[in-house]
Amino acid sequence: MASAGSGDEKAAAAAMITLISSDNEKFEVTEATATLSQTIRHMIEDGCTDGGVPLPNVTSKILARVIEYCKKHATAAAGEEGSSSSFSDAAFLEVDRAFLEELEEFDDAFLEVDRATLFDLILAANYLDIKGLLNLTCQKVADSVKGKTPEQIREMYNIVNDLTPEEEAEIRRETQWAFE
Amino acid sequence: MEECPDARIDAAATAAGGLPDDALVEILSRVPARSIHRFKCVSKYWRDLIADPLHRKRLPQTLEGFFFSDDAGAGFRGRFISLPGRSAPHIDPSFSFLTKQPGIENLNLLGSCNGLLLFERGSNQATAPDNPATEQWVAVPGCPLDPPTESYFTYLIFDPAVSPHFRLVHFWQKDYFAEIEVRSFSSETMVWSTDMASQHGRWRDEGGWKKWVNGGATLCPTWGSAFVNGMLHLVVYHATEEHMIVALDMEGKVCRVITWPDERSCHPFVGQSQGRLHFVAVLAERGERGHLKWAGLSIWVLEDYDTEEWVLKHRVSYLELFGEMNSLDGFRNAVFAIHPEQFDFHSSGQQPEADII
Repeated sequence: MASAGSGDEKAAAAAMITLISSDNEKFEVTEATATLSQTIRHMIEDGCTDGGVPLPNVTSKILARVIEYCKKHATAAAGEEGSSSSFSDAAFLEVDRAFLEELEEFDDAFLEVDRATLFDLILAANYLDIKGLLNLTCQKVADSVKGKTPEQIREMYNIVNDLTPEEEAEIRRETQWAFE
Repeated sequence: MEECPDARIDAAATAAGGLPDDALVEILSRVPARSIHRFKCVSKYWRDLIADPLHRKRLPQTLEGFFFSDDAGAGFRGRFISLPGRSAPHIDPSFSFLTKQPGIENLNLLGSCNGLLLFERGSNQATAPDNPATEQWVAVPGCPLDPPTESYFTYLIFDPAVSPHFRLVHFWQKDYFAEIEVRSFSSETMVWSTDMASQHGRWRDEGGWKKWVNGGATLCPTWGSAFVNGMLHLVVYHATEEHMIVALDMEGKVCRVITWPDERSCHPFVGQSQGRLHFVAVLAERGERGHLKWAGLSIWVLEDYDTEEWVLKHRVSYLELFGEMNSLDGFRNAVFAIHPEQFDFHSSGQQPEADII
């Protein structure tokens, strides 16, 4: 464990990661924030993060949102210190219910986006393998589609029905109960 | 990393279709089963994605009802009971598409596995697995073991997520506690394993049957079977070691013996749910004077297959189930099936030859 202040600063500096969006914008984040992404965690473990991590599938607009989410949730996971090394059960319990409620409010506000952005967030969460974000965004879409009819789904997402009338009738016959 | 198509292109334009399969399955796994079944009508892409066996395990499944044979000694009489509020699915429970075939007069339902049913035709071992939803069926030649005996059992193994082919494992026991012989059948090759002499020896010597034959073990086919971790699990009664669960590979070779979670239990039933081995048994607790304190079912799950860690999941008293405690008669209340996706077990008030899809 480092005791001198300069040592701590060095460790903190070493733990910064640069993420580069598809439109070439650079974002500096702590390792604790970046490693919420399993994809980036593996890259760090493999030592492939020198000179920045290019994320060609993620635009700067979406990456900024993803980082916002990770920062908040990394803090939640690490207690108030903002560093994974200070994590302990006791610290987590200290943070307590108030913080979890705040986190929930953050998540709700975070999801107040248009559908295209929500889908982009799902794609980014899927690509970066961020379990919490994937769960959050997929649940939001799931809540919006459940209980809808096939017609409503097609309308919502501009999907062309390419099933023949016979095929559609067959599905309806097989799963009649689902349409009642 | 080099190949980086801009995922944003068309994502909004083709909407849900622009999401990779994995992401759409993620979303659908959080939607109720009723909605998912309706969504098959959205488009071909949605229909195929939802129907894909690879995704089935991740999507919510529903229990439709019970399929069973009400034969009462008079041949196969298939019936289907829907759950309250559900209309019967579009299948013909009498399987007339099979009985109309020449040469198939008497059907006997032997078992089911992941949507396939196994029937016995006539009075020998000719069998015909089929799919009640699509009415497809395959005739299987009779097992070359002879002469026919009263004691033979055939188990069906089928996992569409692993292979489109099914397998049969056929056991044959000449007498109570006599030698057990095993043959296997693969729908890929359409032949039974034929090398009787060497196979026979292999199963006996390598397969672990050796210590049970010659006054050893008898199979308990009415006590369920389960296809878990790529192995078939059966209950075997052994003269000295009592009951045990035996795991067999696709060829019928014994790979492992699993001990029961609770030695006090009786009338056991093994099954599979959510990919794990389940064990349901009757348990009765008596007071000092032998009076009945508690009787009911205990349901165990093999949480860790490698360390054989059984976890007691539920205890349901007969009082809750049937309104009376004294229902210990296992012949009146036998467990017949365990739902493969959600935990849910079904028991019957009688003891007909029964099975459930």
